[in-house]
Amino acid sequence: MERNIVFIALFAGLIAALGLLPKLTLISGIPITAQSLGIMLCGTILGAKRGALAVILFLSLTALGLPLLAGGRGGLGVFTTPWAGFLFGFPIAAFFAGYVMEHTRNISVGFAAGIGSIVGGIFVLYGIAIPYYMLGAKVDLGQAALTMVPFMPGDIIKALLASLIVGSVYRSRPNAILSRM
Amino acid sequence: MLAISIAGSSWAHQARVGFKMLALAVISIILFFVISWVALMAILLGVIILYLLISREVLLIGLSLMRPLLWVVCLILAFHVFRGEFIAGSVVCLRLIILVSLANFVTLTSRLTDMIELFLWLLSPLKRIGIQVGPIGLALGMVMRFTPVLIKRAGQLSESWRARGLKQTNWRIILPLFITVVDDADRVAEALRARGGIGK
Repeated sequence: MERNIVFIALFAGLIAALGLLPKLTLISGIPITAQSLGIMLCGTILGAKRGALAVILFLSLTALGLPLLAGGRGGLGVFTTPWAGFLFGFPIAAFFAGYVMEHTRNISVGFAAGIGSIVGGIFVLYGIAIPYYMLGAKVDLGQAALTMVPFMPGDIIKALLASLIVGSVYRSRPNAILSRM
Repeated sequence: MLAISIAGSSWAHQARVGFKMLALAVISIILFFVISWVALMAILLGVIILYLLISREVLLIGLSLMRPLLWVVCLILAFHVFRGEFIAGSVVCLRLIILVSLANFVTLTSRLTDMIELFLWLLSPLKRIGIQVGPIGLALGMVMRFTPVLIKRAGQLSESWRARGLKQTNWRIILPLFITVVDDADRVAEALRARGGIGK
């Protein structure tokens, strides 16, 4: 009980810390914010339920008025834009990332984390964010997709990083991968 | 830690948070039925006056919060103009600007502690389905306490990364950050248990 709550709270803090880091620069020189990487790591390390709860906790504090989103944004206003589909999709993305981890126990942790991150952090997340943007901005599928495409390469790289990081966390702290307990 | 809200004692600060949230919800719903851009312009003017009623500085802060929205609005408008629907596009954009600025208005004029209190009160019916609100409050407090610590630690890690001659902060600091957090989590959980634990 205590361990679960502390893990959920600290991982919510980690998502915030990753978003407030100066933009990380990848080998290729593309700057990315690490916040959605935080979502992937939350889901894959904590598992479906705890991962989603950590993200909901993070979003609750953002809505209540803390500037925890990438770039120091926050407050109720960020939830009323057509981009908010990403925010509402975050906990569901973490849930599915964790779900994949929990149901692929015969696959190595790092590899499963990569698959979970792609399923949750890309397919599920964009599956929510694109229709949400279409409704909010009143544009058609092609236009919505065109707006989102520039972010996809960064997200694929983040899924690969999630795979590497979760694999390494597992090697040094196997007990921390709650999704495989 | 730093919140977005600004201190003050104006009428908007004194209004109850619950009332402000309810008003925001009602206005948001009504807005979706307003389809005339003239009416929306009038409402937007009303929102600007709402900010000005507190002070000019608050309006300026409100405007700076809107800056990230600027290119989103331009993009949406451009798509609509491209399809020859300028009026429909401006209605969507006006509605968006009004919604975001009203929501920001509530955040700017509400204390974080009041917002948390309201949030926990709204969650209290969860007791009936067996979910305790106490641990949620504890978790909220822990995130607020630990986030600045984690941000500082991430800063230290990137400093030591740079000290080794590598200029840019690299994704490689994320792994040590997570390892230290996982170790902290075990110690904090142990400390909580030693002090009587959490419910159940």
